[in-house]
Amino acid sequence: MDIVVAEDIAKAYGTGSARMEALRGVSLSLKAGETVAVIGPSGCGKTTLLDVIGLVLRATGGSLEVGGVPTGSLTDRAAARLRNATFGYVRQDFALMEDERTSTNVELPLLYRRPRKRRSERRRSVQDSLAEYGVGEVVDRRVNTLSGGEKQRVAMARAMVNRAQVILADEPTGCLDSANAEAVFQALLDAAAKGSAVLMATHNTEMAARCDRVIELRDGLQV
Amino acid sequence: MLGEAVAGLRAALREWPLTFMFAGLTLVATSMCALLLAFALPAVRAQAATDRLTAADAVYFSVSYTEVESVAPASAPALKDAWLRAVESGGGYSAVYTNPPVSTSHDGEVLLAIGQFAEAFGIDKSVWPEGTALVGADFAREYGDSPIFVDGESVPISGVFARGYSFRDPWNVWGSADGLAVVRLRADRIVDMGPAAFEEAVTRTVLLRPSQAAVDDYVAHAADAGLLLIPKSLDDQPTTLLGVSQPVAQTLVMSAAFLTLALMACGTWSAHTARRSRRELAIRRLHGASVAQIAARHAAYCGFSVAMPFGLAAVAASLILPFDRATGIVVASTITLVLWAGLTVASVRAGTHGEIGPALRTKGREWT
Repeated sequence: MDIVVAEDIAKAYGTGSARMEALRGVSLSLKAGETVAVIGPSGCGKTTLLDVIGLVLRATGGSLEVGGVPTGSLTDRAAARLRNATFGYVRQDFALMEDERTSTNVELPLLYRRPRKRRSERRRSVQDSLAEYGVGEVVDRRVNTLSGGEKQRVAMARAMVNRAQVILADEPTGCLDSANAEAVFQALLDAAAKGSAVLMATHNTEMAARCDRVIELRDGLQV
Repeated sequence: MLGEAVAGLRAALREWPLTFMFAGLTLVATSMCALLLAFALPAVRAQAATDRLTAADAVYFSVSYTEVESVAPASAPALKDAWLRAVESGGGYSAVYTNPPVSTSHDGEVLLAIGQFAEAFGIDKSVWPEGTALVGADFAREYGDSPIFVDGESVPISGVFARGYSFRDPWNVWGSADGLAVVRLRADRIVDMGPAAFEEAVTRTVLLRPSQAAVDDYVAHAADAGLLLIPKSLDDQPTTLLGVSQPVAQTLVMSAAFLTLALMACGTWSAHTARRSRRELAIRRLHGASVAQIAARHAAYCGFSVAMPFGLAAVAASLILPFDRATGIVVASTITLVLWAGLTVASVRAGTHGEIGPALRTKGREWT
């Protein structure tokens, strides 16, 4: 069964003469365990597509179903629950709370999960997830003291701590050296092997080629 | 939700110098306003009573004695008749305060009101029949239903004045009714209460809309009895009340401006904090926090740093202000809740407006 079904997705920013069509009729679906790369030049709509699918932006056209739930008229609370239950996010800028401890960042999806686990269970899940991605020793360090590679692995740990069904990775290796980039990409492949779907926006054609499918965008259109 | 509220409290405590500065500002400004209001409100009420008496061309009297002995009604029948005419058919009123033939089981003060007293102060006579007493809020609280005897007769209590009710007393600018029991009596009862009460009633008489002939007649009869009454108009003391109330009003306006500025500073800071926290709030929303959860965090933050000190000061103020206490607390709590809700909504809007995507790309500090 498809976890995500997006049909004819459109997204526009601004109004009137300032209106800009970032996505124009993009369709895709994601199955469990599948890796899909989204490629294309800068500004073609890759991040916008991931954000629309991840319920971070609202589409201005088309339809999107997540886990069989139509998302067009979801309330803020329902969208928040669905994001929490379905998606893990890995972004080029890490999207970590820099002044907080690593554990606080990784705990976030568990904190907003319903029903919520007990504190001790959350703590154990956080430690396990960090250890799984090779950063178990930084659990009590503040994020602003970590290297870029460590930050991205912390972000991976956070994405997977809730056993996300879909990982949305937006240029996950963009800020990393080749060794760290390979490690993070391998972590994404491992997550897919465990059953998560991975949708990854990337400029790296080599990594894209290692994914199950590739979607190419140009000027908001699916090529 | 509880976890979010605790996080909001932690944020307020983490920024404790600013939190305490805002709390202090709010507390000081609210307290200043309350204290000044406590002083100004009776003056404002007295001014309203003054306006009513001035509109009625009220004439009152200062007195000089030509004889040492008190003036007994029996020895001055003409004055007795003139006084009865003045306060009954003539539309005047009088009061006996210092020499009332009153006995109580306590030390509560009792004022005897005669003539058109109720009309002069706009009190509904249907709730205050002759021979009954209205008591002030403090009197009611302290002495409850303890009986009041006037000239040996028990006087039932028919009601309680609103807290802060004050009478315009031409001799003392104004007088608060909070600690008083005011007994409404027929004028002829005073005549029978002895020379001290009668003399006080004669001298405290206020004539409403009197003709010049009526004033002259009253003064002449008093002089015959040995009391030299000098008629006075409230216009003769135009600056007395203004002299008190103008500086109070000016200081009150300044304090209110200070309070407004303090609250604006608090509100601006809360919204600024929220704006600077947009990225962190977006990260939280990305991982499942709803706007309601974000709002709980802001509500705790605003509540601790602004609404709680304001609320405490406002409730304390309601206890010292001349209002009914229950009403005061309800009003203070309502203002506090409105302020709290307003601040929370403003800061939630500042922190979460728009979609999550753009907010994730903003730079900013973090909330906790």
